[in-house]
Amino acid sequence: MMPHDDTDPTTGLPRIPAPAVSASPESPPSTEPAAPSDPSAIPAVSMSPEPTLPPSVSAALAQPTPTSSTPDSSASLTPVQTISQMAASVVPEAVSRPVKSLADTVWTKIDRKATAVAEFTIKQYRTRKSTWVVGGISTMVILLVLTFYVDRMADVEPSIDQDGDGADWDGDGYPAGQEWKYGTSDSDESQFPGSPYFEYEGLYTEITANGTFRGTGNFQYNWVNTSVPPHQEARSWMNWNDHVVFVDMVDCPENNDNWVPWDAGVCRVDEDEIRIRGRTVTGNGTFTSFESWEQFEFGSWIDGHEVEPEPRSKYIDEDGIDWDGDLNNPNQGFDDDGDCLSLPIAEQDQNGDGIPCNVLYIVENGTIIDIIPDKNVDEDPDDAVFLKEVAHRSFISIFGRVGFLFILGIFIPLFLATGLIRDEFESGTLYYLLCKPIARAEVFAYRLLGFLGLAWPFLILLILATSLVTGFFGPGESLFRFSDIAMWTGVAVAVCLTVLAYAAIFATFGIISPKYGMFLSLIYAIYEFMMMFLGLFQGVRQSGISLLSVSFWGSEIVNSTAWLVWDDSAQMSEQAEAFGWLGEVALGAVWLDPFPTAYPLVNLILSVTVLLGATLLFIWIGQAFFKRREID
Amino acid sequence: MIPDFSQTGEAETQPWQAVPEAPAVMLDHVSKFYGQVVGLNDVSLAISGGVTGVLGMNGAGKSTLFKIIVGRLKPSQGTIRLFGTNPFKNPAPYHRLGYVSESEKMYDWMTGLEFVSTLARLYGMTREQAKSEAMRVLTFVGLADVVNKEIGKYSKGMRQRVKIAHALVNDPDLIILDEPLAGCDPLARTTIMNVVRELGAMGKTIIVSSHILQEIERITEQIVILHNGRLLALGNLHAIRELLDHIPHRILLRTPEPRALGEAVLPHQDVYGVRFPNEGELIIETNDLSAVHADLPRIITESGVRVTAIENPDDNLESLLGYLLEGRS
Repeated sequence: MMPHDDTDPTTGLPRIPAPAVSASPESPPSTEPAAPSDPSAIPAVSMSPEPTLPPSVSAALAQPTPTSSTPDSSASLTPVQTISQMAASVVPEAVSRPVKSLADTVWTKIDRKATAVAEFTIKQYRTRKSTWVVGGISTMVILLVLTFYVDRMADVEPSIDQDGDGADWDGDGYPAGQEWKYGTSDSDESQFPGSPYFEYEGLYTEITANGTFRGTGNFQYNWVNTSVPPHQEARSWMNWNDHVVFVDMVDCPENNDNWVPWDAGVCRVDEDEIRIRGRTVTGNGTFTSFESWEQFEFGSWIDGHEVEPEPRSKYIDEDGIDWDGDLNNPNQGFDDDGDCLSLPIAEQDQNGDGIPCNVLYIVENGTIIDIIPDKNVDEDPDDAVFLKEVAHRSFISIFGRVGFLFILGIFIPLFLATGLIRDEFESGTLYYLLCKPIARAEVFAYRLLGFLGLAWPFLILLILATSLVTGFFGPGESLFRFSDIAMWTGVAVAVCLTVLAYAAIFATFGIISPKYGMFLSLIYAIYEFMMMFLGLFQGVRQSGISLLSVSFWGSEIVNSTAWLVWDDSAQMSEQAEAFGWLGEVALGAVWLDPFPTAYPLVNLILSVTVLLGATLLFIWIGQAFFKRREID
Repeated sequence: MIPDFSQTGEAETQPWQAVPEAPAVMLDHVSKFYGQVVGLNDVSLAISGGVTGVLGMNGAGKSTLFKIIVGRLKPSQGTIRLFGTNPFKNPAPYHRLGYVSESEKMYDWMTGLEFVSTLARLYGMTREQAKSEAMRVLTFVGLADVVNKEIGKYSKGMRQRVKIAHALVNDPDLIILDEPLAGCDPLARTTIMNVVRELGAMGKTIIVSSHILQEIERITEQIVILHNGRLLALGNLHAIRELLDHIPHRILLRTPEPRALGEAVLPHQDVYGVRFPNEGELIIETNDLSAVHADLPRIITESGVRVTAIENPDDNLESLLGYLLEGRS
């Protein structure tokens, strides 16, 4: 260090320009600066008089009389300006605002301080392990969930056959829908489109003819067809009314008139005579019932022709929903596959609206409350598309809410914002920020700003990544689902505002009690979690209990946005119920009724207002505590 | 209701600029209690200009006094005025204040330059201003070559100097240094003391605390002595000591020939006795310490005795306090 010009040459110590250390241990206690008391009564001390002192003070200090603060010694001291006098010169305070240039206004200074504190806060986060741990875990969780989503969307959804006409119930190789069209039985594998069949002509107890006989009795023939139809030959067991099999036929016993073996249903009486029970035989001869009351059928056997079995898929998703989206037109729907129109006229109008084969949409206050279809109309729509859409929407709504809003939205502020002021208290470095010409409320607000400067970009980045993945992998005709952008924007707004509110609340807890701040915050976080889970139940939501939580309002932003962006969700839910699809349950859980008002847009605005209001309230509470706190 | 961002407090009107003629620091019957423990007891004090040393044992209330002055603590009783305003309610006087706490805690992850310039921006400086001001004060305290090193890697003396630099960055009128020399090696002490002296020479009001008398002595003569939270004495250090002249002072000399030296010293008019407490030690008892000290080098040279050390066992805070407390009783 260079010796300074002002250094006193005799002492080597710096010249003291205006030293005035004074004390008045005896002056009357007065917290408010009062009128000057009698100076002579007040002892005061000063020392090291220097020629540079003002004359008045110099005179007072002319006799450097050091002293202890012993009352006895006070009489010998020279009084100088007392504390009270000094205080009197302080009030009234002469307020003189210095002229500031436009570039140096209060606002630009606030601006500079704000960026300084916020920047400092972000840099400080960067040096903390907890920041990286929270960020890393958050990213990993999001990526994990996204892989599940992509996996789910890559699955080919097996389509559901709502009306069951795609199934081959009797195993004859033809789907039920095709059998219905040909009028063959869907429960008898011997009857199928193009199959050979028995054409009934009449009931008899005895007849001599050339034809086909079906029933129980004695058949004496001069010609008989010993072949069996191919479908019967293909299986190893016998059905009622099957053609008799002539191979390995057993003989009937001599003395027992009407005995026939149950399994084969036929036995030989003579070379040109057989006895049958419940079987069919074709030939030329006389067929006689065993008893006079027991009749048999007579007719002719029509040989089959080849009919190509249709693929099952033709009878799945063959009758989609034909809804034109017009809420004022209750008459909707169209029988695409004709299975309603082929019903008897009496069965074609089961919903009773006077129009055969349609779907009745019942609308109240602009919302579809019920859908009643006629039988076999729109009964088998393409549910794979529907289910994928439902899965996609449910994913965004649930993941946006639970994943981003509740999990990240609570945990990131809990771990990163609680210590905004608290950690500085604990580490004893807070005074660096506070012993500066900056209000404590400002420090608090700018620290919050710094937290947001870290948390918001991080969360928005995660949401953006998620929205890109769901946009490209989600169901839809185009390459990217642009329609979801509004929904993700809603989620981002909800997350940002929720994180802001939580940060203000948690940081305030940290200020109110540096010692128990983290504990308070944890308890509050648990409360919010409870409210979030309860809020997923319609009944609890409507009861209004959850209105007292940040999570409700954040979730309501997502919910309202979902109602506004995907305005056909209610219809989808109703249609799912009316046509008996799966996925209606998922829809019901995801699309909660708008609350507290019935209008999503009102709820959206209300939620944003409430969250911002809560933030301001807690910042105000926090700064009020902060302002009164001593920084030890 | 909007947050009270300006923190202008209740009844007081607080100017952004403090009243120019108000004393830098004024305490009126200030007491501070920590529960049952008294931190500061009825202290009245006004300080304006010059370098003032606050002396006191550990726990005497030096840091409490400073924390009240800078508004970290609120006095339990009494009034504190920093440039005429209440520092606990109004951050405006911080524009003119530089404060170095006794706390060792710093943002170790920052470089010295970052630390000083970041905090400088809280005075409303732009980024560039803050950086150049930070460089200026860091150069002033002699840290120009390590400004880009992290504070965590600094030595204790360097850390103290960074703290001092950060307190100087706003060119304050009042600088409060709480134990700036604590824990520093001799070289760092010398540097810091030079910095403080230089600042005093610049006309700043400086209040510096220490529990080591010699340190304060090398910086200033104006002292305030605190003991158990009470203002025990204030004034010129040497004057205070001379006031205690009737109490014998002792000078301890270490020499291989204590008796020979004792004989040489005894004739001095102010020496009234010598003692030989241990082997190789000589204690001179006197009523006028400065007079004996003035003549001692000559006596030693004339006697030709080799002296290895001269100590003033009484010349420390404990004995000074002892004298002062005895004087009161």
